[in-house]
Amino acid sequence: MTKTYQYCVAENWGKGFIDHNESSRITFVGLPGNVWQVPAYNKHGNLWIAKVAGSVKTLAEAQSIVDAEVTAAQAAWDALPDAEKAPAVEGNPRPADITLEE
Amino acid sequence: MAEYKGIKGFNIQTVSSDPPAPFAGEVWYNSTSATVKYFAVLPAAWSTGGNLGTARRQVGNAGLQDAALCFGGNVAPKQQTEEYNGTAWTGGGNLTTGRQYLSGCGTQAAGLAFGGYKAPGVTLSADTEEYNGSSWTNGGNLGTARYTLGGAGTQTAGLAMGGARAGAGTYAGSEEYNGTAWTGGGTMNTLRYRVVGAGTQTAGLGFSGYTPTTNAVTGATEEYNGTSWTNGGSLGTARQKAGGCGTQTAALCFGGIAAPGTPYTTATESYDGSSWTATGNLNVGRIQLAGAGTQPAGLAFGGAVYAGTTGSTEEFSLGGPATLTVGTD
Repeated sequence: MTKTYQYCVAENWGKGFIDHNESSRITFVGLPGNVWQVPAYNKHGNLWIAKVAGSVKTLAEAQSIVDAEVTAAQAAWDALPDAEKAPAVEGNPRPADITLEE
Repeated sequence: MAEYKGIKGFNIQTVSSDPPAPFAGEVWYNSTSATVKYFAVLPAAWSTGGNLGTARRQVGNAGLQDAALCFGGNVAPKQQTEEYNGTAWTGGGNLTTGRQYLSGCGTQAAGLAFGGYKAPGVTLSADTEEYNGSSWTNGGNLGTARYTLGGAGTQTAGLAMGGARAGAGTYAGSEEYNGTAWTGGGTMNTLRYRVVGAGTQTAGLGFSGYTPTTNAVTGATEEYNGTSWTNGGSLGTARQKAGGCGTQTAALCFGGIAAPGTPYTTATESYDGSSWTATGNLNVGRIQLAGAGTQPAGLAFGGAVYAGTTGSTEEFSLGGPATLTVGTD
């Protein structure tokens, strides 16, 4: 099956990590664990991964990293006092699971 | 491998300096810098800026893309202030009253912080503080303590709109600040909290949010003339917990969430005084973020991502003509 996305791990160092030209050419999705989703089979996506020295991950590897981050966030949320979990009006929902796409 | 000449029918021109008025799609080799360049018209897009020193959400906001102010938020002691210079954030003076879900307006050197809540269990804040570029001092209190409210205007002509009052429900009222005290303003047509404000005290804009009476996320936009609110064009993507910036006739709305259980949106829309149009998306979807700046030069920072808070900052620009480098010898 032809994949739509590819994944890499790269730390967002701030200014210049994604520049205007890159952002206007491809769609980035920032995910927990410094995982980034970019289009597969895409020259601009490949160039960006090279620029940021991204560590390319398979779908399963990326999913594992994201799951670990989400699980930790869910555990941290579960440990909150009730008042922090449900302020009177403003919601503070438990972090939801994320399923990555091929 | 196909050569440029084989595709285009001619070679890439070699020049010693970039052409003064290239056309879109023009390619050339600059022999001085030893680079192949081309000229393109880029669409509007977000690029990354410097990360906040303290990742957090539910912060207050003020200023411009290259001179912004971030204060308060969910991280104890909820007093931290940071200043952005277009590249990086540096620490500023702490708020006197730590709080989150507050709002703000003004500039980096003359900012205003108001509302919010102070502690778990919802201790509401009516506190107003004025920033002078290095420290905060107390101003006149809001008439109605509230949080998740919207803000607009300047330190001496501020506007607070909407918000939530624990136990007393959502608030549709607005208040105007004159540098000393708040007085009542017009009532918004759509009752809401988690509203985003933009513009000035006499040409304000309120958009997005959540209306508990109908249990609905709203895309309603309202325009303020210093006296009353009138309806403007609705957002294409109704949402809450979004960020925004700009003026009444040139605003941006970005991020947030459209409905519970849906992904945090990256959708960005621009307002022209009558309707919203989709434009370049954020790179990091998030909620409870803040905005600063203008429509052509906006700034998004902080917020909540799926697994915690983020210090990510993004800069919006409209794009336009640009000379890009393809490669270097």
